[in-house]
Amino acid sequence: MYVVGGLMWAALLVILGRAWLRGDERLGRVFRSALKSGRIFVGVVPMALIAAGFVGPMIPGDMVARWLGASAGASGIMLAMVAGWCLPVPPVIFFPLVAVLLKSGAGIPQMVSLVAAWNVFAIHRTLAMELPVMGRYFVSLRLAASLIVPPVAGVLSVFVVRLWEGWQG
Amino acid sequence: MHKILSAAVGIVADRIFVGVTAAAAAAGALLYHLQGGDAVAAALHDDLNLFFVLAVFVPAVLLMSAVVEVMMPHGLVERWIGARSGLRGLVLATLAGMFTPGGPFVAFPLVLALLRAGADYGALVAYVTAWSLLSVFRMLVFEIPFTGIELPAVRFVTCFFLPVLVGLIARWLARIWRPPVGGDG
Repeated sequence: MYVVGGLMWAALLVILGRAWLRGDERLGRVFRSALKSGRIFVGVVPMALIAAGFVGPMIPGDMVARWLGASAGASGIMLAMVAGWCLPVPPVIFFPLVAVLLKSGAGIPQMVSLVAAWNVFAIHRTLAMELPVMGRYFVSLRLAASLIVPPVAGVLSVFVVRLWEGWQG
Repeated sequence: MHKILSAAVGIVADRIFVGVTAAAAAAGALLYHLQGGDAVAAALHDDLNLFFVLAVFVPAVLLMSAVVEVMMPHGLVERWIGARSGLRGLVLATLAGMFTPGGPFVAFPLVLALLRAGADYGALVAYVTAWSLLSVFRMLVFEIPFTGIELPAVRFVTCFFLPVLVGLIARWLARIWRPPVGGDG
């Protein structure tokens, strides 16, 4: 992860440094936009992390493992998909929750299904933004076509994880 | 100084921040009650490592996303999604969706404009699916720092072709289930 971060900083240094040398007037807009979208990382995100850190040790691990663990197989993938459809929460709450579940014994394929279902369905986003802007036909068409995403991704993940673990020995 | 202060007040007064802080306080109190002070201290200590990752990683991703947003040639995304030619259009729409920065307030008005301009439903559905499922910036700022690299890596490998497939299904569905003529309500 630090390698990825380092590469990104290096690329940024080149891009922004070149723009600065050329006196590119878009530089100000870049920084303003980054600051604007960065606001939640100052307050909300660290606090959500602290909350997730506190919740983690209290989650009954054996229950998570039974319902959403790798041994829960296809039924775990389906259960995770339904949970993903029903969670109307923003990413700052959703991802700490996923992290807590992972630590408590949830399986990777089950979490892939959960995240995929939450991503494509995203009930908070669909109702608040997509439906009013795009209309009923587009939303229904997209959701109907997307039904296959969580189970396909979840089942494929079973094989990817198995391959990966086999590779590592 | 005044500006910094008002920004700080804005962050603290934010509704989500207040809610999350209350949740953190409640969870911390409950943990203390159930497992004692050591468990609380251990949880906070675990958080430190994550804070460090966030501090290094997130500013880079935010800047990168802003660079894409501000410096990308205008109309490139529109051209990519608008490409009507078969599978190529779906693949281009998927790539455009993966690299579209920003939230729904950027993405959906663009999709609507393209729909009115006559782009095909399959490509638009592929674009929205890629943007929600594989958004590179969301994966980098939220998913990787919180959950570690393994889950996003497996998810990316198993999902990267799905927007194209979903677009194909939508195209096929739109053929048997006709779009409403002259606008949609």
